[in-house]
Amino acid sequence: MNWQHFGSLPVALGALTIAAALFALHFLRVRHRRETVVTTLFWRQAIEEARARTLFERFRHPLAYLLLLALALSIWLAAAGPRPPARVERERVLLLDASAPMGRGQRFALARKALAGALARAPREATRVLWCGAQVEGLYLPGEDPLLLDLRLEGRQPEATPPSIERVIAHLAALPRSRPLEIRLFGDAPLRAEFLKGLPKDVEVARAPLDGEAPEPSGLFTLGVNSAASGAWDRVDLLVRAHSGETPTVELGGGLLTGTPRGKGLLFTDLPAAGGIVHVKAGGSESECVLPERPLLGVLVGGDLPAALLDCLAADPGVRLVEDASKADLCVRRRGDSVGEGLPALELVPASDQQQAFLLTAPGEEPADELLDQALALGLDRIDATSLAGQGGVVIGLGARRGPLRSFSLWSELCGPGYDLIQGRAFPLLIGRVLRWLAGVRRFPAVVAAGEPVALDLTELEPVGLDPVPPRAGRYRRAPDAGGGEVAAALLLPPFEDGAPIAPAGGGGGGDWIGRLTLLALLLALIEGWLLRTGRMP
Amino acid sequence: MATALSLESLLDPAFLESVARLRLVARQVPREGRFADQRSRDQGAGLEFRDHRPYSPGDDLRAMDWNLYRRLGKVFLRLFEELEDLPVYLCPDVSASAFHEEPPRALAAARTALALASIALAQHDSVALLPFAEHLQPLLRPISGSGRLMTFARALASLEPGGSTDLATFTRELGALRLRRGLVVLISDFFDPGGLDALTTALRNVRHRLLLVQLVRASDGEPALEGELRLVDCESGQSQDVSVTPAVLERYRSAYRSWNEGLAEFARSRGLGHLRLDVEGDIAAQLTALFQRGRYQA
Repeated sequence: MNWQHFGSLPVALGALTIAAALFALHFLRVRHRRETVVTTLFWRQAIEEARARTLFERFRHPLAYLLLLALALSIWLAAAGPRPPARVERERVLLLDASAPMGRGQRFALARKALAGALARAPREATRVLWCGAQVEGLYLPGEDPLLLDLRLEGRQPEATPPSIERVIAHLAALPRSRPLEIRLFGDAPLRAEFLKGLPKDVEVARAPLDGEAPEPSGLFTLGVNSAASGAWDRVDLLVRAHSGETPTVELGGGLLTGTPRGKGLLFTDLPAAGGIVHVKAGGSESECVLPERPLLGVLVGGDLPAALLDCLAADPGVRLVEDASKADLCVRRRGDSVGEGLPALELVPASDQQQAFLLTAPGEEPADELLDQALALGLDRIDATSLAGQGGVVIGLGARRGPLRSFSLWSELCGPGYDLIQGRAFPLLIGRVLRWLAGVRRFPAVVAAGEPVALDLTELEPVGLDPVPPRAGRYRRAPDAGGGEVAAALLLPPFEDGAPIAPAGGGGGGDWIGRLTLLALLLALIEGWLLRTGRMP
Repeated sequence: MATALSLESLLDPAFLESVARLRLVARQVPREGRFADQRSRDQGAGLEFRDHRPYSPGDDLRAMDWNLYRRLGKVFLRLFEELEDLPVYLCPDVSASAFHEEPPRALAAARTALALASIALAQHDSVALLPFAEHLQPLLRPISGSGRLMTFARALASLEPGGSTDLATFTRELGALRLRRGLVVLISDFFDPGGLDALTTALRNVRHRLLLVQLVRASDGEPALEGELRLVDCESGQSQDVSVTPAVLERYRSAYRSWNEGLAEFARSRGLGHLRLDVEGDIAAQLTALFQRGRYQA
């Protein structure tokens, strides 16, 4: 605890108060203990000799006063937390690495501690601190009270994002400046030597040493899962990228998988989408990935269905036609057909029985607007409703309602010869998505790398003329006009490389003045004790 | 402050027995004394033959040596040694400082005085008790005879604390008494407020043989004091504020040592008897040390 934030004037006033108080104390009379002796003859002589060496009659101990004053002021100034005169000849930026690797052990806490120490020693007017996580944020601006740093870091933890230090440094180096720039990195983010070589001459980058053990290589995998390129519904492809330079060993269910090189990684195709766990090893690091579950949909089919609809069902790789209702996940039928009672159903309804051409029924408490959005996401937005309306001379409407079971009903006439719905490319898509919606199958997201631009429209991001960058690992929704769905951003951690020199201890901030003053106070106390013991000071 | 002395504390048979063999021997006995054991310069009717001298008119014819006259034909007188007494004036210090600590210096002073009185009375010398503080307080006129020791002891037991030590006044008043010359035994701590100069000046005025019995204790030279003290003189009541530090203590020791050496040098230069008597030690043993071969030549 100190009172740095009081400023220099209160500290100076406090020092003056101490000096005045000690001065007054020297004038106060000492409370003597009364002692009766047989004679004061020799005591008077002893006192007379002592007086001969004093400068003043009342203020008899000026040296003792000076010593006490120095001692008290040392303690006072040490408590005041003095800082050396600000070195404004260079601008200083302290970068706190908040990327995923900093979540290991106590690395982040150590970095925070080192950062706080460096800030305490740094010239306040020319120093700022940046949080380098998913986003770059200012934690401390020049001239602010260092206590604000603690407040702004309270409760914050490293984020699931790859290191962004190089990007930040490159950005800082590109900014116009009038003074040389000194950058200190507090964290384990890699800094490539070739990157540092490319920086301007007036930019000095160094890594602040952290206490504790050095970081171990880790986070060297990027795992991505996507639908199988072969088109098999119950299969997925897996992409593994290792960054340790070693070929990863990939196992699934105890069996070793063999992949084919794809770019910087290995591609494993047509893995069963049955929830298996993929285990990856390379360079002493391990990682696991759970494959999605995509079972074939058991579809019970009623009678008298249009051939085009049956063809769609047969062509869908995720659909398995069953005859036993107990093995069915849903059914496709005409309204009035008793097949698949109690199952989610895709129904063909006469136009006379249903006002809307498409009607979505779903349980739950979701508002109607949400249901309509779900209906559109099923592919209805790809249907040319105007054309259909013109062909039939009717209004093609979309409706949604609540019901005990999921169902999707459409006019049976739309599948007849008077309309070209079944001829369009959107019809198989509509049927496939409706079947999966009815069965409650969720689409598993595509996987991209966090921190790297992706050529996808992500609604949670706002690209300005650039491809969006998922800031951290997690899921992102794609824009509806880009096909909807989700994208999973995985961590893509670059290999650790340290081309930055280690910053000297103390950070060049002028030394630990608090420690020096405390040592001085201790030394003065020892001197005073010695003087008292030897009788050189009263 | 310690209370007055008691007769029981003084009359210790073993103590008196231990000093019974000691003797006071006068270098020079003053004239016109009583018959006693001290050899005087007076020639008279003693038993010990000393010398002859020629006859002068008016001499006592009974002292003529007729045998010598018959052999030489000249008249000589036979001279005999006269034995007289030595007046011993015992002057214990009864100032407040003598009664301040335990055991009080007054007790040691009284026992010393009693021992010396015992010795003197036993050899038929006369003994007087003249205690002093600010003034001389004659308590017992010269007495003699070994049977008067109890009288002397009672007088000692009646000593009471006085004021402050003033040796100048004491010596002046002692001189005014015009006592027969004898041995003045000053039993005191000699802490005269005037310091060593006042002390020696006062003692120079004494027209008697002097024996200085200096009452000391270990704490005089090594006081067990420290810290911020207001030291009050037990005699004058004056106070002195002192920050007792090792340096101040060292200066105190130096002052005390210098004072002691000055007093001893003064006694040596004047041919005075000087005994430093530790009031917390064995009085008899220390007195015995003063009497070389059992005799002290006053």
